[in-house]
Amino acid sequence: MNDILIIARRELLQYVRTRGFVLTLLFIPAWILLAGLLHGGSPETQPPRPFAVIDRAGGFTDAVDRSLVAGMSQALTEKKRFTLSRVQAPDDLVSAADAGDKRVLASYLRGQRPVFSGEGPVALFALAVIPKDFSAQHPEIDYWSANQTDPVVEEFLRHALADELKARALAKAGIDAKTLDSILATNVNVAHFDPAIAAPGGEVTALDRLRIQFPFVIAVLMLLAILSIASTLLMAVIEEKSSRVIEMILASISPGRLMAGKLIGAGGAAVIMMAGWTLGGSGAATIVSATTPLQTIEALAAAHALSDAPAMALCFICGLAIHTTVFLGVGATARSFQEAQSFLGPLMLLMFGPLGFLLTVLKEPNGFVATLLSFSPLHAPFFLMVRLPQHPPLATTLLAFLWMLISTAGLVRLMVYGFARNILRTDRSPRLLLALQRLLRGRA
Amino acid sequence: MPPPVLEVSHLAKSYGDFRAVNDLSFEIGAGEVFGFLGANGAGKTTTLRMILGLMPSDAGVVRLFGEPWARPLLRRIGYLPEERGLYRRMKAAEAVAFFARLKGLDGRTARRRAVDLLERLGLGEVVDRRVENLSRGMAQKVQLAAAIAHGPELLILDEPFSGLDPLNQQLIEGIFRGEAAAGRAIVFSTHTMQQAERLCRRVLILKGGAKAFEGSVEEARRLLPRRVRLEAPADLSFLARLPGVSALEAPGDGRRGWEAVLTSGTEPGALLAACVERGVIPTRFDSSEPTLHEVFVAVVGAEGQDLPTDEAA
Repeated sequence: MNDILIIARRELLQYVRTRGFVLTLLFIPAWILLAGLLHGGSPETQPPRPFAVIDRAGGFTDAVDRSLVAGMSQALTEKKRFTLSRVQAPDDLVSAADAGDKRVLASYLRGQRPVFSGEGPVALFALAVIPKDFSAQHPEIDYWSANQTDPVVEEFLRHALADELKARALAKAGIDAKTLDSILATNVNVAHFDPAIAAPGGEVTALDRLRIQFPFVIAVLMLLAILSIASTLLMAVIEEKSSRVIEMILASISPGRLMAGKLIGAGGAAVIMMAGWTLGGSGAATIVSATTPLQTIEALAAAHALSDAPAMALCFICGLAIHTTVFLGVGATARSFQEAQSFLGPLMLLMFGPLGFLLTVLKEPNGFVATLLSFSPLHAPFFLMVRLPQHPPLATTLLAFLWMLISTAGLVRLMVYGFARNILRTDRSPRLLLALQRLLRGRA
Repeated sequence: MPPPVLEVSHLAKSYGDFRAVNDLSFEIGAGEVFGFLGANGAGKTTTLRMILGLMPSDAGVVRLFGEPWARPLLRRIGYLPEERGLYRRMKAAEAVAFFARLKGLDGRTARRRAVDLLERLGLGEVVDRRVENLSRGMAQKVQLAAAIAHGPELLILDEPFSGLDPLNQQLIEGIFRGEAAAGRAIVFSTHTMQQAERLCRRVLILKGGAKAFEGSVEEARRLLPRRVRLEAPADLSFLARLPGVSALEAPGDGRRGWEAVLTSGTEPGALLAACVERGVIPTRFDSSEPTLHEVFVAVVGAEGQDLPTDEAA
């Protein structure tokens, strides 16, 4: 076997044989599963939100109940669980609300004292107090809850009561009940069009959105894979260096071939990781959303999301080559992991900080930030990947791709040079500036 | 006549103002065990690293197997570095096979050789044990196995005996003799002169990066005059007047007897004959050749000193 492949195989095994790698593989599917279970994928897991209404103004409780019925009906159509229910406020709770007795209010809202719904005793989620003068001129209610971050009940009440106020105003203006219902049921549907869409008429469909989001997901997975591999790569180089294994290896093959082997090994680990995440994620998605992996692939194919695959593969290779070689180069300058960590922080910020703009670029794919970052040697692969399906200007895109290839080759060459120069050094630890200096120009 | 396995000509290396290796030349033939001796910081490791291409030289030429230095030729060399290290999580046989494969062996042969070699080194029971779970001595033998598993024609071993107990040293010496008998050239650096004396046909002593001596062990011994130690219940000062005795030291200063220094070619028996002639029967007569250790101390003197960084090693 070619010596590069022998090194690559060892590197790959070094990653995949660790417990950390298995845990990393499980991370994405587990996250999807968890997120799905917690946020609507499985209705049974959503927390119930029973609330009570004290209606001093009169008539608004009926409006709230009507909205509840409408909400339930819609949830039934969409096969979702409707978690809202109104319960009768106990007398002592009503008295406490009148008197502002926070002790009693807290005991109900923190679940220490139950309220009773049709299903038995439950913990009260929220209490709305509609004042006597509640009207279109004075549209304010008091909302009590021990959970001020969950807006579902508040939003529901806001819409239900606003609709009721509007309905009363319109009725007062002489609008009959039928017209009133029709007015309140009025909604606007927005059809999306994009001149760049090839389909006749240029209407943007869900498949088109999938095509745009797919590279973004791949770019994020690539980032996660690189982040997972980078520290292992760094530690492996430092271990080889400190244990002097590196001398025995370099007595057999050149530093360039060693680095190539490491690169292929790390690339293989990244591909396995991303494939594992994709498969595991599809499996998890199947559980939480009843979408099979086959359906996902069919949807991607229908959306032509794979048509950019060659360009995405190029971005992937360049991104991986840039980041792994930089970490190898840094590992070669350090004598111990502690030393490496001292300049790992700034390096991580430099390399991964701008990737915080990925979402911005997804939303504004051809803006100034997107164009600028597409020419950044360390970050171009990520941003170009995200921009690909969004029809960036051909000339600048070709130029950015060409620049990415040139800068990747230059950067890799520079890192190989720094790696070869520094990998056998074991003298006193370099300071950050000295380490960078060594990395960039080497020192015999 | 076959070309030398290793030929070093006018090799030089400096670190700033410090000359680590200075105009060094030597050559080694097939089947030869060559001792590379020198005090700490004399330039041994630097020289070995330059031979292997791990470090660029400032001047000089290295030829391997009769050809100019080229990386592919390194496959025919086995190397054991001074500071030992293996992948901690690899199993013993796996580690040996890994390095043998890097030197060009196919996977199956590398594994078979690794297991055979580890068994020869008394490590048959730990072939599948992780390196991190081996004792230091065991790990050192695994690393030696990694250096020789691919059957190199030239073995470069930097301090191969350090850290090994006497029994293991003896075992390794046996392996070296076997390798040399199979026609392999061995260069090894050491501080232990007894080992060099036992194993080497020729030695090179480095002093301050330059060659201070190169030749056979016998030639090295001849660098120092032969000494004869005598004890007798009489005054032996008459021995100083004998031809061939360059100096005579009387008992004292920690010496229990007399010590005569002979000039080259003088037979120690002449001193014994002179004593008998005078009617003096020595109670002790000890005539031994100088050891390599004594030669080394005399050649290197007090100048060989540790240097602060390994750059200078």
